[in-house]
Amino acid sequence: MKLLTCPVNGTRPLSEFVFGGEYRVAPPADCTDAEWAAYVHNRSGAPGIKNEWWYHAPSGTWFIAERNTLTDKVMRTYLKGQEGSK
Amino acid sequence: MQTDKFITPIAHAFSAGLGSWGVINGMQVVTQFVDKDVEEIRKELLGIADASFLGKFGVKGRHAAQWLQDQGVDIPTQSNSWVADADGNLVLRLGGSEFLIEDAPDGNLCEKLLKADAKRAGVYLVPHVEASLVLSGSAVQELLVEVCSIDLTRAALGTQEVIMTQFAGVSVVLIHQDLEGEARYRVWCDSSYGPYLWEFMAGIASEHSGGPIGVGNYFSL
Amino acid sequence: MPLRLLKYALSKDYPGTRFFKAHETPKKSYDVVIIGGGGHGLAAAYYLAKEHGITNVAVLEKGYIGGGNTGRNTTIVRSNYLTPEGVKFYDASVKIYEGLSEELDLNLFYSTRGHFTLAHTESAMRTMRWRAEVNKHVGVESYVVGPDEISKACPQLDMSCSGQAPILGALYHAPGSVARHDGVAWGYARGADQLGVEIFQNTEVLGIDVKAGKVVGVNTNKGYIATSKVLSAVAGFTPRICEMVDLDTPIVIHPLQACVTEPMKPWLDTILVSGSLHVYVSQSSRGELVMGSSLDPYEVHSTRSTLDFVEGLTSHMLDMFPFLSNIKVVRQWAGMADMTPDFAPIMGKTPIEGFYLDAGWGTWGFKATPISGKTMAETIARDHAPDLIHSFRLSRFEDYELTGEKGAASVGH
Repeated sequence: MKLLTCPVNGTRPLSEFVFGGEYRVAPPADCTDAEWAAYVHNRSGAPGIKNEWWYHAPSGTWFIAERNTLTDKVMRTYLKGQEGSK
Repeated sequence: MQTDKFITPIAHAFSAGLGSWGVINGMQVVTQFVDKDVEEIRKELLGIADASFLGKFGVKGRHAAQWLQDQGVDIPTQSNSWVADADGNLVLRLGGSEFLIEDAPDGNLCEKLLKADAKRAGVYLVPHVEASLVLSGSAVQELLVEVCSIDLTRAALGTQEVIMTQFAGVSVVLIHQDLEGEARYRVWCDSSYGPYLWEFMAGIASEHSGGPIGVGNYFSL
Repeated sequence: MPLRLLKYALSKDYPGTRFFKAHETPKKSYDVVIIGGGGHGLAAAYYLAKEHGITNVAVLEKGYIGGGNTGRNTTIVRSNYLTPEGVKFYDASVKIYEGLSEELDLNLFYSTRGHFTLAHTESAMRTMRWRAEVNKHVGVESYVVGPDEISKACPQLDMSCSGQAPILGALYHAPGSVARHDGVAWGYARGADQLGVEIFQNTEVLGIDVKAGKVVGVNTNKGYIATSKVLSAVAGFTPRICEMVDLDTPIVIHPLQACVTEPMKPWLDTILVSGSLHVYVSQSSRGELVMGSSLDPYEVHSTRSTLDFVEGLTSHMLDMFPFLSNIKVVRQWAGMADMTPDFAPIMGKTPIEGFYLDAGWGTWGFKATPISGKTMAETIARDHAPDLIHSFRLSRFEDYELTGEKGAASVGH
């Protein structure tokens, strides 16, 4: 059983969580059509350490996990806006 | 607030002609499943009861804690913890800024809060119609390990901890309550999953010679 | 047969003919370099040589041929897709498959079984009727059938699915088949080899040399190869190859798992798929039930398999076939599926001159092996993609002209 640690509810089986995709920042509103299309569709598909949205379903908590998509090892999890804290 | 048009969300799990029905707090519920003596034995081993008729109230938002305190409600100071007031009403803090309040059987705190003025920025009411269950008995841990992956023993849970996890794939809120020398678990889940979870847990309870019992075994009504 | 085996065992030299020459060191340059020695890459090499006379071709395979998703799928071949573009494309593939054993002179155990996509809900029935109409329009034999016909074709099936999800009907697709997937890779490899293509196993591409927007060569662990045309046919490794040429794509990698049971006497003639129960199953020529399910729910670049998967899959299998409760699962594995947002592949040219992409094969790649090889060969030879794959071009995303195949491409969503 794989485990993931919700920053609010603690360590839980992965089945309690929903993957929300990579944390991404939208381009500015005045970007070009091509930039916008790239933002809408393209993803950083290559493996590496990524920040991703995860959702703890029983409590409705969205948080961010820093995870290596090659090894599936989670470095840390934190609430949005609390990157600096442990 | 409730009328006798309400029926417990567990109703779909009950076959026709099962036990005796009654109305508690405006909700039709099964008050007794089998003979009193058998229910007593079930309770000792592994009892499961439907407490969905208890009044519920929810509020969330960044000023929800302050608003509740303004209404004279004692709130838990820690995230994911709970307190009971002198009348036995439960106040659960779900995460940091959301609260679930459940009345004691003879309580009317929820009705009072529903009437209070909550039109304030940062205070949002959350309707609650969960299925609400009670579990107890010497074999209750056997049931919990079958439905849940995390350690829910008394030792693992702090005395006032609120756990949000999944039972048999269904999201639940859970607390452990010591009452009158007796240890019991309280479980809330979305009412649409209530019958499924009830059937699942009542089935396990039966395997341990326990089973469904009237809620009067837990609360004086 | 045993005597022949004994002869092989006692001989110091390998007495049989090799399927393809064991090349070790690549030449200094090739007309075309194909990255990926799976079915797709080898088929492209074969058709380049056979149909376009381009034989100075190297196929570079990091591991061994057919060891990636070609050898990890559940071997189903079908064309009952949702979009006219998809149905035409996969139908062309089925047609090539039907004659492929003869063409490659190798028994691919291509077995036409008939394919049922079960519907357990009214909304699923609606999708089945939709797919049937699109299929018929394009000339593909698919139609909606009721529970009686399903029961007749597969009497072992619990039509109520343990009372959990009663079967209302199905999309029946007559040409639905299974084939020996490693045979497809080996057949194309031998065919390409005989026409002069050089296949290099254990040869990893480390970088792609692009100058002024044009491909000029590739760096490998066996040295530099000059070339002006590179085809990437690497499925789950596509994002890593694309990173080498600084090309962004919508592709995200999710593992897709499968497993087989111990062999049984033949009892399952057809191929069964249930979207609601997230199961597809057929019985192989060895008697094993070959079973697959939905994608793993999040991105991982790994072929590790999980207990969760077998538990979930077998529980749904038991809903359909309760009598299998004593049958053992003997093997499970995973492949890395290169998923696209619209569940259609990404094929053809790219903004980098000479860099061609055959990717985005997610959970639907094996069935397309012959036609993707053929169309990619044409794209490379003429530097122009044929109309059949126009809807699969990479630029469709920039043009917001997606080819929505989600309703027909896999299960469990």
